[in-house]
Amino acid sequence: MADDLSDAQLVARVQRGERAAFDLLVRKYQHRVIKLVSRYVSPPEAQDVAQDAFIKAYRSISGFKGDSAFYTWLYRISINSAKNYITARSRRPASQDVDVDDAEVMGQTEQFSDRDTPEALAESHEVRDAVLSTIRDLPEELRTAITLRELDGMSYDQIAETMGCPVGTVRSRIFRARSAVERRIAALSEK
Amino acid sequence: MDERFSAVLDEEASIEEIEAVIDTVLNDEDARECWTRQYMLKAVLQEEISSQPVTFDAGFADRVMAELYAEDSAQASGRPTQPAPVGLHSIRSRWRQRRRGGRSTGLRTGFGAAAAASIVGVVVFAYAPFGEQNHTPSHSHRTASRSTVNHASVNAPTGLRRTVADNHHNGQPSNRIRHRVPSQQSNNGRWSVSDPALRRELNGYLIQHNGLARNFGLSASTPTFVHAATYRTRTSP
Repeated sequence: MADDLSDAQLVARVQRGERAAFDLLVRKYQHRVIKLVSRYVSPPEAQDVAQDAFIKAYRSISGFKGDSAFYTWLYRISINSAKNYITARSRRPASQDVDVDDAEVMGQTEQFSDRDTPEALAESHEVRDAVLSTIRDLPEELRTAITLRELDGMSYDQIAETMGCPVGTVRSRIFRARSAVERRIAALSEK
Repeated sequence: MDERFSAVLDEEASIEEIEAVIDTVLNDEDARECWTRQYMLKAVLQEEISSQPVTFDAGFADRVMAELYAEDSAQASGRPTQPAPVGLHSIRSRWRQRRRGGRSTGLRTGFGAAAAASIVGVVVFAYAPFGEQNHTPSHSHRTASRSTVNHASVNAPTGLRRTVADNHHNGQPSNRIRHRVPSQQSNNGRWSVSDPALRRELNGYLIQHNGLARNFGLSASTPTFVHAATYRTRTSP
């Protein structure tokens, strides 16, 4: 519910012309959208399709009435973008496909971006490992709170009931857990 | 990042808090980076969940119920029980173990028990169905050849009552449990065990061998010389 609230607030700001608010929506949903379109297209293409979907969403956000959740609306746009991409690709002349021998020459083009290089993949694994190991090393009450929230999807009320503590304590514990992970990830990005 | 920020991420903030956090994030580059990283964290954890393989562990429910039963027995005797710690680490270890293709412990134990049964040559299992409590073993169980059977009856609810057979070979107890069983034979001819720890151990034995007995599941993998011994209603000769 509050998710809809925060999205609604951001959408309202975008509709009022505050473009930066859309940046927050992109940052929030980029992983989900990329993962979603990855079901239809290959990972390198997924980034392009997701980008296209966000752009389409921004361009038509003035028509978003809030009848559904923002992500539901974005979901439909993303799926349509992926399907349109597949259709367009099937119509594309073969001559536009890049030959393997030309890969070195075309290295700077979109078709051969560096987004999926071994370095980038290693970095993503590093982040993932850092997140998981940090959570694993947290004090028990923090680890339990963040785990119940993120892995089990419990609300604060449910976590409070489960852990036998006030909701405010749950909120504080989850915040402290997040802060610990935040510091670890931030340290990684500064390396 | 503060608590309000965290609450917004968790969809647990009020409208006022949401507005305040959005204002902060829009006007602070560091806060915006934090916003990005926190949603990345969520994505990482979601990926962990979605990549979790679905496992079908046929013995899981049995093990849970056996543990519950053992804890009930321990509590009834006044012995404190210690719950198994369940944490992220242990959960992930199990996931990873399963991802590596490891078979479930229960299944490995089951096959190990089958091999042991083949070597020993005799596994006898006794089962008392619901409501049958007044029958003597001497009239009721079938045993494998060259074996004699003693029974240690486990105090269980009527519907769950099982009797564990202790194998003898050439008249000698083959199970080490046998030597320290503080048990006594009740009027109905069964053995009762008063030590909760021993009861748990016997329950474990029961669970392991339950699937190996004919008519209890893995009959296809049961050697032909393995039989299920069952209490039956006493009938007149």
